[in-house]
Amino acid sequence: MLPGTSSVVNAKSISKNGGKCTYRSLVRINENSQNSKSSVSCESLMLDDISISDTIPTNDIRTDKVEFSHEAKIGKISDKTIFYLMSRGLSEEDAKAMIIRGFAHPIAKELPVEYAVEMNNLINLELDGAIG
Amino acid sequence: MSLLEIKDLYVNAEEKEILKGINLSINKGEIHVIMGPNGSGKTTTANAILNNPAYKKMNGNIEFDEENITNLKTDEIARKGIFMSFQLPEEIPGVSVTNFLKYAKNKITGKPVKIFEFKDELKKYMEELNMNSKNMERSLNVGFSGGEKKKNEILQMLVLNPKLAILDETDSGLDVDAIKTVSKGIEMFKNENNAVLIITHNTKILHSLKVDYVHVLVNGKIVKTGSQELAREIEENGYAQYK
Repeated sequence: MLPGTSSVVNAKSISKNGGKCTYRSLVRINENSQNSKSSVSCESLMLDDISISDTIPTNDIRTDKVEFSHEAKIGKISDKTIFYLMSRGLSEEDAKAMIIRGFAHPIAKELPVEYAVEMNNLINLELDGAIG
Repeated sequence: MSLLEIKDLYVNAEEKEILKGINLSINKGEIHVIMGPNGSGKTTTANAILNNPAYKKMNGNIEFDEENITNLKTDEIARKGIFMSFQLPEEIPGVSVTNFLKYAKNKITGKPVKIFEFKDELKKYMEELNMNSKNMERSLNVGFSGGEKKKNEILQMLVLNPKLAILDETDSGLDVDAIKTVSKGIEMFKNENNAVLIITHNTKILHSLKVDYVHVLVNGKIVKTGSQELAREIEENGYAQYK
């Protein structure tokens, strides 16, 4: 990174049916990149007990004069959340789709609307039949 | 006519027997209160009515509107007209209060929701409940304070307009003003065609709300049923005499 610049990494992954997500990243801030800023966030959502998510971030910071933050979150759709949504009239499938769409929302809202629609359809399609 | 009829209900949670033969009958137009010490089975009762899979019914049945709902799925029960306000409402990141309620209302009523009418309705209720209208666009319950979450549950009750509203510890952890707001919400909701079941371990909410029946639940059984007077007596003497 150049001095006085900034960067954002925001990664989200969704895995199901034993799928495996691996996140690897490298953020390097060199000695001369003073007063730069960077934030890294990675979140994974697993839809069942057999899926796997690994997060392997590398942060190579070679100067003190930076603002750098990193966070990682791993989540599973809990039975409690599903029960909550079902008590509001949503079927189990609707509830899961709503949680996943909400999870993907920060990414989807950055996309051009055509792509965001595609992504929503893809989420619904992927969920079909996945939940018995 | 009886709206909800629970007969001889036994419920286990994690292999442990929690409810040991509950009988309860609620008619339209009534407000009932179930009181009891911690661990007596109050929350289990609410969860069993909505058939939470984490609670196993061992015996007995539940009828709602003269229909057996004992083994229906939670969402089917919700669509029949039972609503539950949660003790600890779940957080749903990325889904705004408005979108969530619009979606839920559509599922409950089975009809498309008219967006402008709906937003006006939401605004009106939020004003009545002293809620910040900015909360409409925030993610559901994410970063809400305890009081905001509980008010949000009452908001959902008003919007979804069920036939029976079960309020599980909705008054716990609230300050005096928030309890008054919750009572006001219940009064706004209540009419002669619906009913309310309040589940609580303290009597604070009963200071600002008139109720028809008070049931005392101890160790998985309803040991006494009475009028609002009974709540006052418990406030003075505690539950010890029923143990």
